[in-house]
Amino acid sequence: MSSDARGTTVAGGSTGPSDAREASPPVQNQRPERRGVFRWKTAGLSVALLAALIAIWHLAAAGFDDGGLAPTPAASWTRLVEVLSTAFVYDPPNNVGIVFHLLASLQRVLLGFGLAAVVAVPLGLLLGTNRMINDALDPVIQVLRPVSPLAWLPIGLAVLRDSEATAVFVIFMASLWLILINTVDGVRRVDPLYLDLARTLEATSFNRTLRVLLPATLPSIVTGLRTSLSTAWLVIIAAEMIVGSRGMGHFVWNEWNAMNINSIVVAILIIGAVGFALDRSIAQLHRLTPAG
Amino acid sequence: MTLLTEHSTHTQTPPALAVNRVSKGFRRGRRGFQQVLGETTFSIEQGEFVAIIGPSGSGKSTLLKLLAGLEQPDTGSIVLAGDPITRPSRRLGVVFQQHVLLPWLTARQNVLFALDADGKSSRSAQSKGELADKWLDLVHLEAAKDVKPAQLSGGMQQRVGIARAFALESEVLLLDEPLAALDALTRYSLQLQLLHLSEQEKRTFVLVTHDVDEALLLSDRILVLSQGPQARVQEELQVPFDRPRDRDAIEASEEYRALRRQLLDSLTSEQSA
Repeated sequence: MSSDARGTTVAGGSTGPSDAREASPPVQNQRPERRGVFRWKTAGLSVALLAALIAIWHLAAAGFDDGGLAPTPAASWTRLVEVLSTAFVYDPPNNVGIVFHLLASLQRVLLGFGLAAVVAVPLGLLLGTNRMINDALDPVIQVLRPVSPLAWLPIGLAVLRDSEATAVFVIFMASLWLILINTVDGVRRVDPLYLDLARTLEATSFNRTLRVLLPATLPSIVTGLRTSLSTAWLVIIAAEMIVGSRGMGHFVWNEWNAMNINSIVVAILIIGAVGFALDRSIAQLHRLTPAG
Repeated sequence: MTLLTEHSTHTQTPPALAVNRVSKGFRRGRRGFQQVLGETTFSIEQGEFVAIIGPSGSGKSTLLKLLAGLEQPDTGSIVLAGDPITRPSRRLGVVFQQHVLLPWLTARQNVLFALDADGKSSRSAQSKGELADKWLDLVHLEAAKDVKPAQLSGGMQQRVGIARAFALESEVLLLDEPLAALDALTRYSLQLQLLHLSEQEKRTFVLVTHDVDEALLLSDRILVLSQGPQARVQEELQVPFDRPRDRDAIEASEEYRALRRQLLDSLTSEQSA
């Protein structure tokens, strides 16, 4: 941790007699100048590949005579424009714009995911530090973890008797394990010297947990949050096909029932873009984590 | 070359640290047991600077962990000014070999964290801040207080660790090879800084080191551990140089060379045995 930090010695800190000799020249910026050119090439290739993909899609759809059910690029584009132009229409129950479906899905995901984080992070800190409780609970976790969150859906419906709460519950179950396991793993990998330090300082358990353990575990927690949010976004679409009266999954299922396959292409694009945006935003949390 | 077998009962004040027939081993594998420290007995007076030196694998670090209360001895006891040590205590400050600074805190915040970690300090926030500043100034880190450890050089990181331990105002400071991970020039300069700090501060110091010159420069007395397993104090050496010490004068003296030779002989004879 210490030896490789040499190159970034603070110049202003060289007050002791040793530092003049300790400091080494700053690390050279080794980014090659040609990087800009390289980026343009990548972008060009990306556009070309996308065009090729759409061309193949077009040809495949044209050569596939199924009574006009197969989505074509042109029809999907028209539908996309249609869906976006009516995105804010709100005339329930039958005519609701895509924005409201999206908001419904996002709300369920963020609620279930948030509840899971509130439960899993403290529980993970406890299990990570307490070997006995962890070993006792581990079989339960290992058996429940591989279960598809959708399997919990009927139980949710039976117990909660509310489709909205059930959707949130399913997302909760989808997020819980990944956050929990990453947190426990993170606590295990905390440098034991930090805990020795806390002991020699007679740190209170509050200080030890919140000012040493939690910051040291934060990178793993953020990784857990990130993967579980992606999973939650995958699961909500499937869950809403079953329980939703609104939401992206409900939209997909509705359009399928109406045989609007082009709409499903549109939905896939939107779901993908929003999933990407969600992942990018939660990745920002990594910036808050200590650069240790 | 006599070993202290009982700590002196004639002095008025109890020794700062008394180690009585302490031994320690660790389980190895399923059935194995590795004895690291044989039965060891010594004591350290209040205000004394004692260096513990020994070849690698002689259980120096284990001994220091025992003194810090981070490990419990298998047999025997360690007594801190009359009170047996059963767990780590703020009365025993530790400077670790790796600096062990929390990377998400600045140098100053690391010292402040140490000051209020136990939640018992009666000092005001302002007084804690002044204390942290005082010690960071004393190790010449005025300009780097608000810098995170990753942006500090190895020597500066260890100086923060030293400032943190001194700021605790512990009776006994335990230094676990604090300079071993540094390059030779930085180590040389930090040895001088430690010498000045230890001469200004009337505290008890225990320094674990494998550096003969460091031990001779800093300490009043040197305990030589034998090669493990079953390491024990095999020799005890008084370091008679007057304080405040002048490194160049000491190193030029005949006495220094004789002590150095004696220490090296003691360390190497043990290794070839």
